[in-house]
Amino acid sequence: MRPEASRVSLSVIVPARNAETFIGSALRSIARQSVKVDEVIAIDDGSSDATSSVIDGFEAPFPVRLLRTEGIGAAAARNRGVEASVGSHLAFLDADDLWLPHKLAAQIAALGLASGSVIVFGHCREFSWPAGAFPIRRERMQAPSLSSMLIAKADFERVGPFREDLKIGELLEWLGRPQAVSMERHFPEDAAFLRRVHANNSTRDIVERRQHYLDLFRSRRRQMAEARPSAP
Amino acid sequence: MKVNDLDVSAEEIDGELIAVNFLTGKYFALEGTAIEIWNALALGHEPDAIIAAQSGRAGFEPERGAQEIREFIVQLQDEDMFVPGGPAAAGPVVVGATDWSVPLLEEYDDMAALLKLDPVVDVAQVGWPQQE
Repeated sequence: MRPEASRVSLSVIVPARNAETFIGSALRSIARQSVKVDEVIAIDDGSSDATSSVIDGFEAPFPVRLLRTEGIGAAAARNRGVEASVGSHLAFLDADDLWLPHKLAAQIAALGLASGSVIVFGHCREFSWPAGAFPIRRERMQAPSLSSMLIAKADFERVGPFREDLKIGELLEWLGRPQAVSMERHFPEDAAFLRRVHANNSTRDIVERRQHYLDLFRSRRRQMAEARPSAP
Repeated sequence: MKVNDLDVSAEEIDGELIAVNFLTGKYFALEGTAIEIWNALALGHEPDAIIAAQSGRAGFEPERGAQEIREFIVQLQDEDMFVPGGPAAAGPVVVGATDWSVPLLEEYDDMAALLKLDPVVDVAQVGWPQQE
């Protein structure tokens, strides 16, 4: 059933950890959306900096709720945000990324084009912070990522919460579940966000991250094999 | 030739080898003879040495089997899984005890767009992004 735009109430989930430098910009990019946002749930996941103060002091045309967690990880923090949300639809934004002003409007328009359950993503561009400090990809990329995702809360709950034991790839795992696979995926051209490339996302352990992906793909292949009907 | 370690990670567990090309976002599954050929190439064996070693195997038809091995290796190269270089192998090519079966490269690209957005894509082992 296609929702009318006026019936969409939006909860935006923003997990943050030691993001005092970026979180204000992320929240401003939500405040500048051309459609109404009903609430923002910002989760400060055990920051040792002023992330909570920035969130608390942010003046917005929508309620900003601050949840505090103790270093439970981004996936678990998002789950806590979803649990606390009251909107009919969920959108997510990483604390270091930025939405362009028409992002949500383009996605709500796309909701109306879907014939059934739908996950609406968008596109992204990268920018270096500070400017020029890091190499970026110049092309506009299709972005099946959390900073672009918008979904009806009921559909999200049908798939279930993000797996909290995964250090990476929680969206990938989530999208691979049968309930999510059966949903339409839309990538409206005008739904765009800016992905910040900065020092903090360069220091993760690459070997470990690659290993996580190998494990994920192995279990995904087995999932697909099990889902396949067996030969008569 | 050698595994393209810059962009590719691979791991074999319980008779299944999963390989991911983080640059293209594709991942692959290999089993049986495909794993044997992968391992032989990774150790630095030449295609001709691999064909010679496999030729004594039950069910291996010399002309057709050689072509199947060469085509498989070309596929691996086309997917940038292997690149020129690396030390030459020491020791014999290891061949399994089972009958010969056609080596297959199962390809999956359903996660390519998503993987492309992860910082792990553009990295060498030294980390990403690299300071200019």
